[in-house]
Amino acid sequence: MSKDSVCEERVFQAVHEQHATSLRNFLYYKFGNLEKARDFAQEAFIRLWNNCSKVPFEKTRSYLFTIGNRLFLDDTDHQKVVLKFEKRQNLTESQSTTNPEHLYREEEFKERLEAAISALPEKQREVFLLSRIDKLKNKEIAETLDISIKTVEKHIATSLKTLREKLDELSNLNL
Amino acid sequence: MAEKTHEEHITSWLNGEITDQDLSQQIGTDHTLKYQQILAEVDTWTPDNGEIFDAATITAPAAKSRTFPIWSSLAVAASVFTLIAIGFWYFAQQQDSVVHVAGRGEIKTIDLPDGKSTVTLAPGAIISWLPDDWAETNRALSLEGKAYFDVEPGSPFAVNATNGTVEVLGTTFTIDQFESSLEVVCYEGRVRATNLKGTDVTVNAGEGYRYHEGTWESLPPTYNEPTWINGKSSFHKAPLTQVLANLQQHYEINISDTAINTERRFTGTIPHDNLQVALQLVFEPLGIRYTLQGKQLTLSE
Repeated sequence: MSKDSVCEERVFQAVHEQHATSLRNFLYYKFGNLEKARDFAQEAFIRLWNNCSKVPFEKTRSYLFTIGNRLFLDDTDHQKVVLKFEKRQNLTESQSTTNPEHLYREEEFKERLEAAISALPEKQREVFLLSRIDKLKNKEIAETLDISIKTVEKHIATSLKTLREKLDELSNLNL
Repeated sequence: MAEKTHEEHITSWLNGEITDQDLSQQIGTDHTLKYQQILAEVDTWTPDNGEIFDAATITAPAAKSRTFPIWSSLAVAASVFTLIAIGFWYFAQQQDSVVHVAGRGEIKTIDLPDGKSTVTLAPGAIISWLPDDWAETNRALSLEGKAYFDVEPGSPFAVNATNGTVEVLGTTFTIDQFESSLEVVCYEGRVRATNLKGTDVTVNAGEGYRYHEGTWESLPPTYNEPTWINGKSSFHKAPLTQVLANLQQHYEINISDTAINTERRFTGTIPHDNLQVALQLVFEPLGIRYTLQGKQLTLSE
């Protein structure tokens, strides 16, 4: 523990800085309710603070994710997952203009992709979005979700393939 | 080696092991471009551009430990503002406080900011101070739990413990606290201990006092360093609650003591590295039966 005790405000601040957004996002990807994802992420941090002396520094991330997950599971009001996203405001030039050639038509592309992502199996969806949106390394995702790096790679590749198939299906229907 | 699957090509591509051209050759340009378009889109997303909750709203003492249903957007906006305001205020007040914690089973020695004095924390103890105080030659500390102090002479030195205050000029001493009791043993110099009711006692070198159940009890003379720093804990007619608190912290166990009378006293020395021996030494003479399952110790008469 020593100087890395979570009971120290500065350490807690750093833990918050590092994990708050990805915890909120993870809960959103998994359960599809942004407001609750925010509330439960906050609740998980409150519990971490109240139990700071019992949670070793190295275990904080898995503690937070476990608590957040449990809060959602205990919450009876489960809904169908319908994910919606905003464009990030702090996009850099290179991030917004990567692909020269768009095969899918621009109109409704975002909505269709959101629908296709919402329909992915839960595990694949979490892993895929943590990788792409939160830019977590495969190793970090594996540690967070307690699965192997191989499984992470497999979930991402399968998600991508499924999304393409779904989008192809949707564009064909609309032709 | 078996032919790579479609997914395996995607993984190699995502891991940067093969180029866009390589992937196109393997799975076709059409698929590759579609994957690029999907990823380019998702990569720009975020669930929410708004601010995430502030950590200071949690560490502030006024922060509520539960979330509230939403009555109206106005109420929410008002409460969020209040919490953030409290957070800023608290943070401005507390920013410079230095905190050290000894984990369960851990003994930790810390140098104090006067550069000469030290404190040794027993497992589970927490010490904190404000560097600003020390800069003004006011050596003040807050202590939860048990600690041994080695204080160099100089400006006034005061420990605000949970169950009382101990002031010194220059000395070595131990403070122990359990439930609402306070124990002070002085090894060198002289200290004054004051309980929360304001009753004080002067503790000279070699003396020890324990405030328990409304009276100061004196302890037998000691001149050496406390034994707990060297892997043992010694007790003299110590209330059982004090012994149990000690076992709990040193051995990282939980103790269920509801079935026994904890007002009895124990005299003896127990090791910190052999739980079986420690349990035998404490409970056998008192005729208390004990069962240990994992980290749970259950006591019965």
